Amino acid sequence: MAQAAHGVLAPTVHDEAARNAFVQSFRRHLAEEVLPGVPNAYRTRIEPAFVKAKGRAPQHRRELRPWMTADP
Amino acid sequence: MQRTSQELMWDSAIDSVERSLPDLIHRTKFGNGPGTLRVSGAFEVPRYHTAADIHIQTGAYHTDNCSDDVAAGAIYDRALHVYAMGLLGPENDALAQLLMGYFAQHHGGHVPRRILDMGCAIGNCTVPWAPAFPQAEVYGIDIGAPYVRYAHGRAKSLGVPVSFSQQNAERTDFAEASFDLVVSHILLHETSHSALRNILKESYRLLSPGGTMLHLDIARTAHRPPLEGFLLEWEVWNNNEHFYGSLGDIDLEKAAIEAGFETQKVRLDSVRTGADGDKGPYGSGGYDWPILVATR
Repeated sequence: MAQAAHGVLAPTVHDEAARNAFVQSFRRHLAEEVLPGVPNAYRTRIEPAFVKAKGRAPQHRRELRPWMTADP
Repeated sequence: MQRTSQELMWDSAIDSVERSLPDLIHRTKFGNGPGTLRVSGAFEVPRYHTAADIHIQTGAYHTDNCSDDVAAGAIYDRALHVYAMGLLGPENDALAQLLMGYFAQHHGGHVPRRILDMGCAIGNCTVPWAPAFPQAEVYGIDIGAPYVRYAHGRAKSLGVPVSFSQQNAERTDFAEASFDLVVSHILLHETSHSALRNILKESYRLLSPGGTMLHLDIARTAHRPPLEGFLLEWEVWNNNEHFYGSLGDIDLEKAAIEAGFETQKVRLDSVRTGADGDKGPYGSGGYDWPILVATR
């Protein structure tokens, strides 16, 4: 959905509009194709490793965070 | 990659604004249209805005780089549309539409005469309230001077009467009991523990008897599975939305009661956007927006 023009919206030349459109598409790609892989990584690698080390599943986002960020 | 996309987003919005800034300043200042603007010369920007640049926007909401600067607001207008992938609509006002729909459904008999939008940014969610309630005076406040200047210029160009001013929602200069509707759209998560409580107290002070406050904000992180909480908290660590995680853990109903509202007149409600089958930003489809509702 294109942004509605109004009297003070900064006008874009061709290349600027193209960059905006690229970043928007890139974000959509991340949201739809890349981020859904995170739960998969959690189920297949992180949760099993956490359980193995601690004998239980993670209970809070803050104890999970170091495990998630250490996983590439 | 997500962080990179956020950096690219600002980069891609800056060029067009930089190129046309003198013209944008002229048009926001001298353009014809209704509404007013008040910007304070000696305004103290709260620490929760100066300690880190929120959204990693350089200079965040408040930094002026020249007199009558509107660059930060102009950049945000372009960038917000990119950030939301267009999902906030052509006028970036979907959250106001959502909140107005909620208000119509639950408070339909109440026709507000003075409406205040706290943390209005570029007024993208302030402006729609005016044509929805044409008999009402609509006010928008924000701590960012370049944002409220731009908001004023934008509203003028749209022909919508709004009174914008640079103010901290923790303590405004409006008279007690001078509003019958106080709203905010994703403001609270950009404040702090003490500011949240001050904003709720100020909402109470500003409302006339029978008046309503509606604060729409981000998802609750408490009681969520750890993975969901971790994903929601991404914005705290990577996008300088520092209060995002903690706000989600706070008992907001209790905070509103402590701010002065009567227990039976406070509720935490929500509205849902999107369908369950949609692919959302977190791959989770429909999204619940919590609303802290209280009536004085």
